[in-house]
Amino acid sequence: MDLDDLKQTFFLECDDLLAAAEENLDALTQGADQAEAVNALFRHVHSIKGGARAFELEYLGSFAHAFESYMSLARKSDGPLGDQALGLLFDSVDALRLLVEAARDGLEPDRQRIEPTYQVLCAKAEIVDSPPDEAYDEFVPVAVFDDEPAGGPTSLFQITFVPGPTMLTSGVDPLMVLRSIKSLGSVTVICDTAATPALDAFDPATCPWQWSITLETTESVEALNDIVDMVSDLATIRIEDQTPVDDSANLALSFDADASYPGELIDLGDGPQSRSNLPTMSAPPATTPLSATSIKSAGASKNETKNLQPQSVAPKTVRVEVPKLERLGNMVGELVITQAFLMRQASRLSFDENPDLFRALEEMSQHIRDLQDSSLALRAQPLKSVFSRFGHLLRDLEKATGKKINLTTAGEDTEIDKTVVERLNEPLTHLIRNAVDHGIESPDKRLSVGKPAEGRIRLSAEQRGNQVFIELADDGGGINRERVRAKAVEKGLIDAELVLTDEEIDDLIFLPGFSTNEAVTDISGRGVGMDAVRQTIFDMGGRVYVRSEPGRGSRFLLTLPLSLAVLDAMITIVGDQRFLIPVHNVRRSIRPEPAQITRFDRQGAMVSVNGEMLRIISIASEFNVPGAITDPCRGLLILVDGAGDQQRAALLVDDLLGQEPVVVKSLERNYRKVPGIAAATILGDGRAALILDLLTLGQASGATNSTRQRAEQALAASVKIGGPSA
Amino acid sequence: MHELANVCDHEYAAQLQPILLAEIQAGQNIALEASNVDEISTVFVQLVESAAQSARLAELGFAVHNPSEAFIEGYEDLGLFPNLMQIFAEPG
Repeated sequence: MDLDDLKQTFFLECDDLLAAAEENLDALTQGADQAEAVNALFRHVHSIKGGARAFELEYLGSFAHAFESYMSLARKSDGPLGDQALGLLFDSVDALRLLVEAARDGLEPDRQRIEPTYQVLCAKAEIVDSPPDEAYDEFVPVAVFDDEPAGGPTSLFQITFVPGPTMLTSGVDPLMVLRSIKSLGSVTVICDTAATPALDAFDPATCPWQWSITLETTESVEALNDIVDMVSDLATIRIEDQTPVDDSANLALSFDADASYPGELIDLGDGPQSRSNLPTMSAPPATTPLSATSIKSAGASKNETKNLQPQSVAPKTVRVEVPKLERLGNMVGELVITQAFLMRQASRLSFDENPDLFRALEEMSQHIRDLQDSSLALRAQPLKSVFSRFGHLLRDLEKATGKKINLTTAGEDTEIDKTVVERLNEPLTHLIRNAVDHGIESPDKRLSVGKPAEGRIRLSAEQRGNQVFIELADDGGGINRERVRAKAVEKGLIDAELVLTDEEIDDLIFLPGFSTNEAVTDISGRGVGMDAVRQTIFDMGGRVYVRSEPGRGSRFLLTLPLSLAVLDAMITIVGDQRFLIPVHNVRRSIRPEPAQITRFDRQGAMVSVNGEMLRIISIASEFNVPGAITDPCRGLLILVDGAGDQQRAALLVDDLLGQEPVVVKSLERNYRKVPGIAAATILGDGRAALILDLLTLGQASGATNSTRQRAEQALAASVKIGGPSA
Repeated sequence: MHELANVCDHEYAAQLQPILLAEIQAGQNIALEASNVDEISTVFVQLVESAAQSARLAELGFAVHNPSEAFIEGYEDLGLFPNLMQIFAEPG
């Protein structure tokens, strides 16, 4: 790991710290314990500052320092933080994020956006010792912690730092590590130089020294672990918590001459020698007896109460690069395919003749399922990291629109693939902006229709099977269908005479280029329409549904696969081809009677199922597969949801082979995007098969030439993608 | 007197090592002028310490003159302030 890698690790940690900071701020606005939330926020900012300084990111470090100084004031406040103070905290976290992102991307930070907040922080931080002025009256300087003038309870850590053989060649200077530790509090650093070589044996690639550091800090051990994590591959760092358990007990033990201090602490008379001694120095210092102070620190430590067992604080998490996880996921996927192949082969054998083989296969299947679940869990992240950002967004939107909004969230601990989490922020942000801009009415209007002045938005998530459902509901005015329809006609998106149901009109908002806003607003009119929201969700294998009730609000439902890598699929036969349908789209299958079928000239055929008319989409016709069944009464109809712009449909196939978990292989990555096809996979028998994309399926039906070409291209591509590296 | 560079890093330490070694082997006292040092690394401090040790063993003089703030801070942060005092040449 070189310095750049460490820096990238720092930026990743910044992401976590900023997300946690936003979460704390959000909690603050929702009445969480102020002291706890503010202290946690302080620690997050402090950690960023330490890293920024270690990596010489000057502006980021200075900003974090100003923020931290301001937070020092907040930590002393026992009164509730007012809107102004909270606003500044939110703005500061925003600015900090901009700075981190700019530093990470090697760009110049947007000073125009950052500087105003920075100046306010500096101005407020500088009035710590001045009489409170009007702007500062939100803080009542009262200690947050008992017996602690500032900051949290003081902890004492004994740290041993031994650079590994590759630390220097990796470009990491032990001095940087020591300075990072120093940034956490007050340190006494002892360097063991016994192994210093003679000059002729000097090796600039090797560090022969090791350090013993005593750190007195108000930071938690997590802050220390953040530093340890950064160099965990390059050094051995051991941390012992030696925080005195009870001060009075310490005092009683403080002059126990027999007490010994773990490690060699060299005391130079009145404590560690400082640079202020420099002008008068003369004789070399000698090791002197332990001072009372040092004995006191060690005398009644937590370790001693535990029979002096060294307490190693090991990091609870390990950072792993995403490509490594992806490789693991791919390998597990290949294992699933091999397992399916073995099961298929075994099914030709007699159980009675091979009972042990079948038992072993069953056991292996269970292990592979567990492995698959564990592999998916490694990539899973709670949605909290996305949801926590929206409290701040709402505050901004409230300011910009003058509307009052109450945001509630539920199910934020629901976990989903990391890739999905990262990509969810933009579409959800747009939906929320949209809800505030177009959905929630102004306070006056709401009061006039008997609603509370404060609008409500609820964001919730839950897992159902292999899907995660995210719902955004508001209690605004709902979709103005007359206006939506008129706009769609005006823009030429639909024919003026077209008869549409309410749901179909609601769905018009997802059409590309659709916007009901006369003027593009700063809130939601940013050139990213609802079609982009749907496309983003669709690209992740998900769907967006909207249901609205005039005057009562709208509900947007997003369904997303738990993982993008594995899919439960129905395997169907069409001619000599296999086509897969995602199981979550399948309602059931039927073999219809002739009386259920109605044929139309232009729309093909429909099937009546329990009074509902469903369009029949022939997969054979769609992909021009020769030798397939074309009569619905002779084949099998798979009733699906989410076909052709979220409509229900009946897919005509020859037969059903069964259900199988399959590893999704991107057709786009291996070949190109093909309408009607979402991805490809390799089945248990080693054959390539295409996974249908129900959303775009049937849209080009009837265009014989293009469908034939598309089918041929897709099928040719599917053959090419076989192999573990696909 | 060796006037140290502004940046006393890994590379500079590697450059300076054979020069100092040659001087010690030639029986010369070592004097480093450190007033212009803006940045110092652990490796460079290692070099200074190795050179000081070798000079002592050879019963030669070794001194750092006018250490800059950055030079002193480096020693202090490494926990080697006492070592710096041993080689510090008092003004005048």
